[in-house]
Amino acid sequence: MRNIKYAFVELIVKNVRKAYRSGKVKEVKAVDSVTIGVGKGELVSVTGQSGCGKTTLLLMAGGLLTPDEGEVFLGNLDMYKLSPEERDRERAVRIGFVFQQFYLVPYMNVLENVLIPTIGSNSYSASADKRARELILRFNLEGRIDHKPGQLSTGERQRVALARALVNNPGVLFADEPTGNLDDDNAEVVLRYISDFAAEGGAVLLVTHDKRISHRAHRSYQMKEGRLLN
Amino acid sequence: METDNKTGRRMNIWLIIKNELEHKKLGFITGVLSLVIATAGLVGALIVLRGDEIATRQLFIDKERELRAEMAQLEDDYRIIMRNMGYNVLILDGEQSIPALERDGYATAYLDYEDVWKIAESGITTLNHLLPVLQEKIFWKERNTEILLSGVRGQVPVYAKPGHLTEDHEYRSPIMDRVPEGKADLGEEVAVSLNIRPGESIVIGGEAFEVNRVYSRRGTRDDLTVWIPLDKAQSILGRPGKINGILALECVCATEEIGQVKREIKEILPHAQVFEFSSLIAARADVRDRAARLHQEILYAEMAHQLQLREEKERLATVLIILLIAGASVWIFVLILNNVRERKHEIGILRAIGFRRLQVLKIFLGKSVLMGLVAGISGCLLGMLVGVLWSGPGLSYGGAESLITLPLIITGLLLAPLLALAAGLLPSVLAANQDPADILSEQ
Ligand SMILES: Nc1ncnc2c1ncn2[C@@H]1O[C@H](COP(=O)(O)OP(=O)(O)O)[C@@H](O)[C@H]1O
Ligand SMILES: [Mg+2]
Repeated sequence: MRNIKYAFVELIVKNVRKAYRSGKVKEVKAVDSVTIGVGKGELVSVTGQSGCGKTTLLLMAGGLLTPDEGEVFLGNLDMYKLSPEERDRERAVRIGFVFQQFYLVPYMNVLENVLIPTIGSNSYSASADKRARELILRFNLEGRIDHKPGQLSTGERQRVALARALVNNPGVLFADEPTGNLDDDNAEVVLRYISDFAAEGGAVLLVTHDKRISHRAHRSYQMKEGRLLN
Repeated sequence: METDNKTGRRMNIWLIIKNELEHKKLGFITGVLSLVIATAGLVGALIVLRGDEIATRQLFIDKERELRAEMAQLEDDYRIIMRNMGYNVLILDGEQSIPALERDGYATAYLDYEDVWKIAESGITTLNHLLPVLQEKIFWKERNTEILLSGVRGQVPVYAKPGHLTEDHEYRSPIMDRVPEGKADLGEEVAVSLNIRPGESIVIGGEAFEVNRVYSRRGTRDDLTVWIPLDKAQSILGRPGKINGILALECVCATEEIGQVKREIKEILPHAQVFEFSSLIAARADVRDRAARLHQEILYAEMAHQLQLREEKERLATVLIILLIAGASVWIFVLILNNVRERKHEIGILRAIGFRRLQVLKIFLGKSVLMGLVAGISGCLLGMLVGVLWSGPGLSYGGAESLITLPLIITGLLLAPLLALAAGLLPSVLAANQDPADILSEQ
């Protein structure tokens, strides 16, 4: 684990709690009083067994799931004080997501998939297009620019997903099991690109049960039954 | 929004809709097809019904015209029948004994020929037709037989009734044809018993005539009559300037009173008397009315039948259209709902990367409306084609322009998009309201 000090904190998750109620009988405490901060240029990982609450934490931190308690700050922005529409808008321009299942749009080619966030943020422009092509080039996908996701390998798909996450120049990248479907080599490539993003000043919150991650993270947390250890 | 200079690509909702449609053509095609059928069904049915209406209306117009012509024909027939049965009014000299007239079949007291003109020029309006006649039973020496010799000159114009007259004061539809100069018309029995044919020459009282016509059998005195021009009859019978009766056909209006006619004639010709056939006047009007009523009843029955047929067709069309519209709506609903289900993860990721609810709504509603627009145009065209081909009879009256109206086109064009919008609304709202966190936390 590398230790670096950062002046600017991009993301603060403060005392968030989330319990799922399935019916009236049982309540699952998915996340219990978690506080975590991610600075600019920092890659923070949260590892733990399946079901310990990682995804729930990530969705709350990413502005997609309202916590039962606690707050999430993106820069100065108190995410859950915003209206849902404002939160959508902030997500569109300030946050990138990468998931285990890639979630590419099957009927659009690589370039279009990378550019999809510009539709959501209404920000498509020549420079957005240029940036998309740069990312495609950087992630070694230039030969695949017109291909559909079905024609790609899983490693390529995850790189497309990563390019999509970065096309709007977000401040924070959220990654949920980004290597879950990848072999060692491909996992390494994707992790390298994610670290590069952090190295260029981005904040990354990465949750995974994959032990291979740890050496890339500046800070690592262990999660168990909804709580952070250490 | 800028366009990519190299590819002309526009990154917007329509690109998503377009690409998805190309990716999943079958759903789109079946959706469009269901809407095309509904639209074409509506447009086609409306055109066929309209063509039917035009054809029916035209049929009534034709039928009514036919009826009117038949009525006119009927009226003519009745007038002729009336004449053959005897005239409504016979104007005689005041001296004439009616029993003697009944016994002899003709009058033996005489009026001046001028008298008929007095009536004609008097301004009388209760009479339509004036037929001066000089009629006597004679022994036809040349053929050795008894006949009724009847001198006629056709109708004397009743000037107060110019509607019946041509510019030359001739009757438009004379109740009896004139006997032309130098000719004679023969009753059936005269002609048959003496074996005389049209075109033959005959001599009566030293005067030569060519036989003009032979009338068919009437079973009355007419069968024993020979008609010649009035002036010839006057000279043969030795009664220059005289007549012995004026046959007057009363007005066709049933309401006119015979008493009125009598009074008016008495005023013009104080020395005359009027012999009436009042029962016939009434009977004639009655028969006429009854015939008119019968024809009208037939026409109304026909109309009622046609209207009933039309109503049945309309009901059938309504049921059919409702079924088609309901079918198309359900299909679009199922199609979009299924599409929403299939694209759950796509919706989740789009929402996660910042798509707003409205944008997701647009993706699905846009798809249904696009289906509706494509179907609206093609369904409208198809419906017009089928409708016009189907409605041959209506078309033959007014042409395609009369069947295809602007409201029809607007209805046809709007039906499918509105239907698709309505049917796609609920699934689209469901899609827009899906919680991305729920979708993305599924493993
Ligand atoms: N939408 C949900 N409804 C009910 N329970 C859920 C839901 N999502 C997650 N959970 C439960 O919350 C707990 C944490 O889940 P999750 O955050 O997905 O863990 P992880 O990502 O670490 O596997 C698990 O017990 C899971 O079953
Ligand atoms: Mg998880």
